Amino acid sequence: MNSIHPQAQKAAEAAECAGEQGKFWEMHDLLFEKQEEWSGQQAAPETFKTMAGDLALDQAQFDACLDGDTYFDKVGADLQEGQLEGVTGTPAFRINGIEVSGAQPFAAFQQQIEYLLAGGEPPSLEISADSYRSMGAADAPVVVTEFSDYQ
Amino acid sequence: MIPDLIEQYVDTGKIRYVYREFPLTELHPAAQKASEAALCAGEQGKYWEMNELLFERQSEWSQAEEPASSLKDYAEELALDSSAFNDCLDSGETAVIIQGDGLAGQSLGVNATPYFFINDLPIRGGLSIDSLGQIIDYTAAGGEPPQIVPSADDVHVRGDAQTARAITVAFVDYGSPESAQHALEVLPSLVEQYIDTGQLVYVLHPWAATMDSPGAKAAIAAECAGEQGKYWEMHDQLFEQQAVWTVADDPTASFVDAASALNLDATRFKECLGTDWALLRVQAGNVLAALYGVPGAPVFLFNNGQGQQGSPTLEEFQTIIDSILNQ
Repeated sequence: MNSIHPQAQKAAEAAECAGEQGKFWEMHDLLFEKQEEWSGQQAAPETFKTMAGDLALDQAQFDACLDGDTYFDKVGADLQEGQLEGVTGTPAFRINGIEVSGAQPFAAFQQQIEYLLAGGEPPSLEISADSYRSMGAADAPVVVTEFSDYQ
Repeated sequence: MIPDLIEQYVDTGKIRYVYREFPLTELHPAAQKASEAALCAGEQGKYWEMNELLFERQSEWSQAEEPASSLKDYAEELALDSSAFNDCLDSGETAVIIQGDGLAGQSLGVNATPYFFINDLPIRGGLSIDSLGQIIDYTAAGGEPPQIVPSADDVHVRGDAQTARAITVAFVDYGSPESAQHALEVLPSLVEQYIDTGQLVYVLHPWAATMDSPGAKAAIAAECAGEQGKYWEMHDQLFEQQAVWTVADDPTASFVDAASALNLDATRFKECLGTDWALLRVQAGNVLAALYGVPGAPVFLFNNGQGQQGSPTLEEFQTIIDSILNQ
């Protein structure tokens, strides 16, 4: 099964492949700028290769990186577990441990990449017992996490 | 934060409690700064004090023209280092933590506040401390997140999920006369007309007021008959004999008699009655009721979104089921 935005996974890989040659941000910006040219297109990988050429990257190295799925695991695509409601097979991307649902707008994908690039820790449900945001015994058998706002 | 939860569960070592910042900034414009204030207080070791104060004084800072200046007053009130706190708040340096909480929440499906996770089990919206406590106790005992519609091989599921277009999820109290009325007077007709004809899946979740009530014990007996392949036979027996065992000094003797009448392995049945496995199967029904806002039993939920409390007549069931089948 593939995702609703199957090219987004490959796009993230393309940015990583450009990063190998020191042009992550240049590729990142180009991907967003030209999103319409590749989003939803079967031939998206070819478009990424053209972009690599535009950025004067070593074409052979970039192509090998992209075709060889070098960063597939880093970006990593997987399927989210079905929710309690019985929705199954909801596609999701995983970027450094963060899931981005495939049905989310591309802006969400961008937000998450930028958060990570700003040095944010991969978000997760786990918060260490050492954190000031955790109260109670470190070895308690159950962790209750509340997401809330004050207003 | 919830004082009752802290008193009954954190202070007794039963849970660790974690608070994550999830300001809904479109609805609550001042909430972002409030979250930053809590985190800035946290850097000085007074996260929870600020957290509590923010809820207490919500009407004050949220309506202030300059929320930040109220927040700075609170820092002074909590005897924090004002200049460090003010620098922290003005620089927005904690915003990245809030962003991380937001992303974590989004990826877990958080779309409202408050939103709880009890280990991995998500709970949307606020629950009473009793409901939260039930779910905590169930999780602590090793219960897995229960499914409102379990897989077809679960004995609680009756009917053919491949063909049926209608589902009813029944919350049933083995000890209640209304549940008995449903089981004895309505369910047999549903079986004949809809379940055996492949049109309806009937899912039963046991519900009990307390886990030491006779009704809960009967629900456990049904699980143990189910373990030997005779859940629904025991279900029928229990409701037929409800008037006997609900008032018996030792209802277990009645259950063992019923098991014998069904030719179950008596030794295995008796051993099963005391297992955590059987108890958790019954508690899971109460957990689902708490999660879905079901106030008790009998309650019937349908896959068109309708719900019925009490014991609907056969005609009422037919109206709802037929409307689902004709959709």
